[in-house]
Amino acid sequence: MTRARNFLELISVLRTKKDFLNAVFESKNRQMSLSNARNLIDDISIEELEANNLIEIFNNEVLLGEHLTRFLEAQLVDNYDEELFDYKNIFLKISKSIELYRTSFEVSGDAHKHTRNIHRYLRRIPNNLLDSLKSMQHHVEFTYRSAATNREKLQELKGYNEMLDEFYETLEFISRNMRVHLEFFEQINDNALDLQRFRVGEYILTIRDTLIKTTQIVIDYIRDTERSIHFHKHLVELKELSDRKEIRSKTNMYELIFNAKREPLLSGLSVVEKRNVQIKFYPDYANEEEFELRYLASLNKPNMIEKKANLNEPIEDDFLEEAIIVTVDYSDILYEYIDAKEQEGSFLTYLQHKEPELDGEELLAAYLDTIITNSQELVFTQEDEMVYGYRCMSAYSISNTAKTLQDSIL
Amino acid sequence: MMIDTNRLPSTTKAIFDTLRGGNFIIDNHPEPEQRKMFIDCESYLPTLRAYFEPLGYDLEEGDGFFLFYIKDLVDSAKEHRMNQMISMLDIITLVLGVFPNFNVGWKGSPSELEIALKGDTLRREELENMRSIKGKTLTERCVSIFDTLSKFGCMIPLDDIFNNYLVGSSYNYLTEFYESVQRINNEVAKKNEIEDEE
Repeated sequence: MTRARNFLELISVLRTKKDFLNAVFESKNRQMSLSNARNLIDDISIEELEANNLIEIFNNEVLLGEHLTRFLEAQLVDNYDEELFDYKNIFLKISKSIELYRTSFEVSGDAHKHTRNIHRYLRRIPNNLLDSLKSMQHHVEFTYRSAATNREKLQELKGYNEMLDEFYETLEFISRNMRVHLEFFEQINDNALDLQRFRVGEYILTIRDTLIKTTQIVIDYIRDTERSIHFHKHLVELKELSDRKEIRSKTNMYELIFNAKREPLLSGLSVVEKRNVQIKFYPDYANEEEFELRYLASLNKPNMIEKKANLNEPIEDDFLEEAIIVTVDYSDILYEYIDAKEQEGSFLTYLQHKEPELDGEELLAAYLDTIITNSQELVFTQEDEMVYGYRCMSAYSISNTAKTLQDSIL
Repeated sequence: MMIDTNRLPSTTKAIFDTLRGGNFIIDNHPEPEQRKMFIDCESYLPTLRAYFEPLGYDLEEGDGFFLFYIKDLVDSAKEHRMNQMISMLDIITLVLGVFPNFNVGWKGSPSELEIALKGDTLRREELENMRSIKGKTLTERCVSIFDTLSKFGCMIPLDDIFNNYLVGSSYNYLTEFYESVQRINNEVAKKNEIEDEE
């Protein structure tokens, strides 16, 4: 058993085993059983072919090597199929057979021979149509993947779209020719021919349906790719300006951000990582001075950022630049309120009592914020409470409400 | 205004928490709970908008996504955002150059990017020069690209063995933004160029 080291050695292996390779290629699915193969060549030759990747052995079956199969099919089958897929020629042959059938029928010749021929021609059509569709798809998948640039990919898609159009015309051609011979098919009333005729009709309908859908997908793809190319070109231009530090002066990007009255609240690049502690601040942006004050104040609350609680530690500038704390957490007050068993007032009353400095819009925000984020801990009643001009639902602790209800029942 | 909590969907808290965390709510999220939030946002938009507005958050609808907007940002925050969008510009230009069909619904993994960049010296160099991307090796930097896109909210990691990510509808936010960025003072620039040449 040897592995070919150069082209000549490989050719030599192919030449000595050509009959066997041809037999495998001609077999169904390009494979034959190992026992059949052993009838044709010895085990050493099988091993040699396997070592050269010309065949593969799997589950007691000898398969022709993948690369060799592809090569041979591309060279032999596709070209051969071109002959088969020449529907113009096929229908010429059918017309000729019909003509011969009529002549031989009149002179009492072998008319059945001609119906058998027509039957054979028709039987080929459905599988040929399917093969054409599959080969087009395989071709475009391969070329699309191997296309390096967007423009090449777009070109492939456009080519595929043209192929689909041509194929659609082929279907129309077959339908048209089948209709031309409809009178003959009805006249001879041959069941086998009718069956093949219906089969062709059925395949044409199914493939036409697939073609319509595929064409729509391809058109959408082309549109998306064109848009993507246009968008990418635009981004490349912007990036060039950015690389030259001209994006502020030569585009409206600065105005878009700095003149905007509102900005989206986005996370992502505003997470601050320090000393293995990740802290996320909401919202991501706010006033620096305010942040500094809140940050210093937060250091007095050991539970919030315990690992950073060092008042003497100077605040680094980059930290201030990247993110800002604004959220004031009133959940603690809410839990105090829930835990206070004798508490009968609403949460708003309790909040006002605990945070007398909170007023107006701040109170409304704090109240809504706390009740939204802790809504499971509260029950809401139909009573209204006014906060900063807004009528808000009163929120009570679930446990206290249950107690109140129990008291009222008793 | 009457804020009637009974008229709000059961997902209000989850919606609020998600959006307030600087995240998008999108219509093509792989998790059903997230898609439910999107449907609820669509169905209860006026109510939710009125509910969140006193808190200082404007609930806004985009092409397949919802997010919060906030007002009165200070200049330093806007500067930060400007840098953020310039960093994202580098990343999107690179990814779109490698994957022409990179768009909403696209699926791919950092290893696919790595394979593509191995044969593309120019883009590999671009990636190496990106300051916002972490990692020393090509693998690490490719992972960092997907991670950054995921943190921004326009990609979602999928729970599969291939380490795939899905491009969410939130990507439309970025495309809309960059499409609205246009060249200005072209005539002035051309005039300057001509003067320079002279």
